[in-house]
Formats: sequence, C-alpha cells, structure tokens
Amino acid sequence: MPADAPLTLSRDERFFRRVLHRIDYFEWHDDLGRWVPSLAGVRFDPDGMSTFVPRLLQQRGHGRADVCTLGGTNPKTAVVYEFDGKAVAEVGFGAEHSPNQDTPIGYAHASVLKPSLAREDERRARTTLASRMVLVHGNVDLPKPAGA
Amino acid sequence: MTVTGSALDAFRPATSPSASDLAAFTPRRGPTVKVLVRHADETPHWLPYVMGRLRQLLQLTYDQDEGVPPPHPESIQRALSELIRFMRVDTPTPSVVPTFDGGVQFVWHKGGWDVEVEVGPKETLLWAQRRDGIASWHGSLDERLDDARSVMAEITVLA
Repeated sequence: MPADAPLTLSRDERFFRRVLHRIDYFEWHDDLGRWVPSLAGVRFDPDGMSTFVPRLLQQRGHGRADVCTLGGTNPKTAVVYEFDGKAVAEVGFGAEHSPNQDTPIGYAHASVLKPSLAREDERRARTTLASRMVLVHGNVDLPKPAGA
Repeated sequence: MTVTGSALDAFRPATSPSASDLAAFTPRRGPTVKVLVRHADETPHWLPYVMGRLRQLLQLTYDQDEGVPPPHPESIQRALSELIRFMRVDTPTPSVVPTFDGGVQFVWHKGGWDVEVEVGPKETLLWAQRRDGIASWHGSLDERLDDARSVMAEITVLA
C-alpha cells in the first residue's frame, strides 16, 4: 500500500517528538526547572528532525502514547515532547509532512527542516527549539544534577 | 572524595591520589592542571556529578543506530582539565552530554544564559548567549577564556 500523499502544514500545527529515555538525550534547564532534549534529543539527520503531527494521529485514533510505543523501537525507553509550528518558524526552520511506512503511525510523520546555518546560529536555534518543547508523555526519571 | 573504578584509569594521577587534590584527575597528556582544595568542604560541588558522567561516557556501549556515536577517549581525557580552566568551586553543575562528532559537551541554562562548552579531541569551543539578546559570543576556549570565567561568575552569583 503506498504511503499517504503529503499534506500542507501550517504555523498552527503541533508536533510530537519522540526522545529516548537516556541521560545523553537530556540536559537540565535550570531556568525552566526541568529537563529539555539535548543535542541528541533534537538530532537533525539529512532528512530533518523526525516528528509526528497530533492532528493527523487523532484522525486515525492515535495519540501521544502511540508515538512512544509505535513511533520507533524500544517503546519502554522513550518519552514524548510537544512543540508548535510557531516555535519552528521563530528559529527560522520549516516543516513538511513526510508520510512513510517505517512505522504503523508513519502516515503522520513530519520532518522539521533546518536551513544551512553557521555553527553558532544552529546552536542558538536548536537551544531555543529544545526549550520550547514540553513533555507530554512519560517521565524523565533522572535526578537534577547535584549543584546545578 | 574517593573515586574508584577501572574507568578512571584513563585519568592517571599526576601525583598520588588524594581526597583533596584534583590533580589526581589530570589526563595523561596535555598540561598538568593542579587545583588544590584545602578543606574537604571546598570540594567543588560539581565535581562528583561531572566525574560520574565522564565515567559513564567512557563505559557506555553506544548503539550507532540510536544516533549518538561514542565519545572519543581523547575528548573525555581533555574534558576535566578544560573545565577546571574556568570553573570555580561554587560554579553550578553543568549537564554533560556527548556530541555527534565524538566530543563532550558541558551545558548550562541558568540565570538567563545558555552556555555550551564543547570539548573535542583537539580543541574546545565555547558558545554563550543571553536569552534577552544582550550578549552572544562564540569561539575557542583559548580565545574566550576570560569570557568563560566571566559568565560562570555571573551564573554563580545568580545561583
């Protein structure tokens, strides 16, 4: 069965990002008082950063928990963060619906795309985007670094 | 402070290990860094966490499919001596994460600052920004050492 045709995403779109529950994937944000995804947690590969669109998931009866269990391997060791299209646009990134058949919820897959940036500009964008991500499924079961 | 474990063999003591001498964790190569802690209560409160994370980074088995390559041993060896160049005893503890090119990154998000110090096998890069847009700079730690000390002092005061 062919993958769904790509749909247009708006600035009001929301995104779920699946993050492995390993300490390497988080960094402590003291001003927010919580863990946010680290460099590894907001990794961009050549096709962009992999996410799922809640609106499209909902249309087929799926939700944030399914991103954790169906959105990749190792369902017991992941959490799910949410962020919005405005945050993506604010840092100068884009997003496109990129349906695939890699997972049972691949129909809702979207890629956050970043332009070619100087290293410091990329750090700034990534840091800002990570701070806008809010945990919506699972718990980051890590103690705050002592003395942070 | 007593640190044991085979992973710490990579941090060969420059002198006999002592509960109060950070020189015990100086890497094999590079300049010797000696930070003497005169009293036990002056042990940097960030040191146990940082040492623990560096030990984990040495010991962890990394699955390439998960996206993060194993840190380069030379990066881990350099990490602590680079950190000591600008950290104070009371500096807030950083997060410690691997980078995609085999480095070790120390990260702070505190007092309105975002600060990243990336230690690679050969060089150390510093990036910092105030989130209110007042300040932003980057460069090698060698070039920005005074800036690094300054921002660490600022977030320490705010802690």
